[in-house]
Amino acid sequence: MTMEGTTLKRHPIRGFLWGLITGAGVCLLLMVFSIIPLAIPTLIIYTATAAVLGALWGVFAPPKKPKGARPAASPPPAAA
Amino acid sequence: MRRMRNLLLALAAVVLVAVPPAFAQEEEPVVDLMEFIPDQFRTDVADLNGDGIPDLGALPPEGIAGIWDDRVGEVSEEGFLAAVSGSFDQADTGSSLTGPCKGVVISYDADGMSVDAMFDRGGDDPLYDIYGHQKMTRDNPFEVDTAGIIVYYGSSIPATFHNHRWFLTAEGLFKDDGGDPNPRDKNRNAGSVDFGELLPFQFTALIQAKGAWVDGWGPAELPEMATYPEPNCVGEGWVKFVGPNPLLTPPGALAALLAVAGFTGVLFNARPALSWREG
Repeated sequence: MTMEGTTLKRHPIRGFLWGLITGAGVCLLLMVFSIIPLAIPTLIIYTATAAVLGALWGVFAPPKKPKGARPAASPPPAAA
Repeated sequence: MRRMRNLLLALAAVVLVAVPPAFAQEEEPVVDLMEFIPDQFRTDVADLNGDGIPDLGALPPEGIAGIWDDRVGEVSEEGFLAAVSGSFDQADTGSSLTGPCKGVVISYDADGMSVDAMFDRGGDDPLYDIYGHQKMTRDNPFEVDTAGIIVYYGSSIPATFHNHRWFLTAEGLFKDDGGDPNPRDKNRNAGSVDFGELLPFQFTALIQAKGAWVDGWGPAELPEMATYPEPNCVGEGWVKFVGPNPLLTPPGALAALLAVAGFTGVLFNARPALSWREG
């Protein structure tokens, strides 16, 4: 659903990459606080899951509103 | 009225935090760890901080390495990852140590004050702490200070292993292995591992570890197996690496940085965006 006169740009790749970083960071935080055991498979699962969630966020999240004011409609072509 | 309510809430929070530890009964040790420490080392240790665990004076001599001990370790990233990715079952929260191996392991901080200790009397009983609780379980892991030292005094008495091989694996962290023909019929050893010297930085983590020591295996590397030839000593359990505030260690700081940067990126740089159509 887009506002009238706007185009929607989605960012699944950005979402994937930022999700990847978030997942790795959160998983490592849980590990250094000994909340979950240190294990490479766990790190991979957290990172992959967060990357997929990030990609979905980049596609389906509520879009940001357009910046600035709506551009004025271009004038009709002058009659020859 | 509101001020009174806030005051009561704050008071309740303080009471909840401060009172339970005050009423918590301090457990008394039920085991004297000195019985596991060989006579020649007893004068080197004494309980200085009153926790029932002998604190360190002089370090025991470093354990004697076997001629088949791995002195190089893994030299490639793939080799390291394969070596430290053992078949661990995270659902298994218990611990075990079977076989004739017995002795005591004590961990110390950088000042030589005791952090934790565990012992085994041999046989199929698991490891215990000085309070008589099973040790190396997920709820009661063996705590190791990553700036400190581990000291061990162990034996396989009455058995004596020859042509033996051993390995020790800690999930995601390290693997070591070795062995010895043992022509001089040794069945006891004492030594120390200085983590403060070995590790490039401190870290905190909860890990699973396992190891095996098999008699008569020969010079070939000992793999992980479901069952090992008898006689053997096989054990597994949980170890908690402790140190300063995790956020003040390099891995903790990196983790926090990644989490904050990633979450910021997800929130502000990955959302779909509307833009005004041109024309």
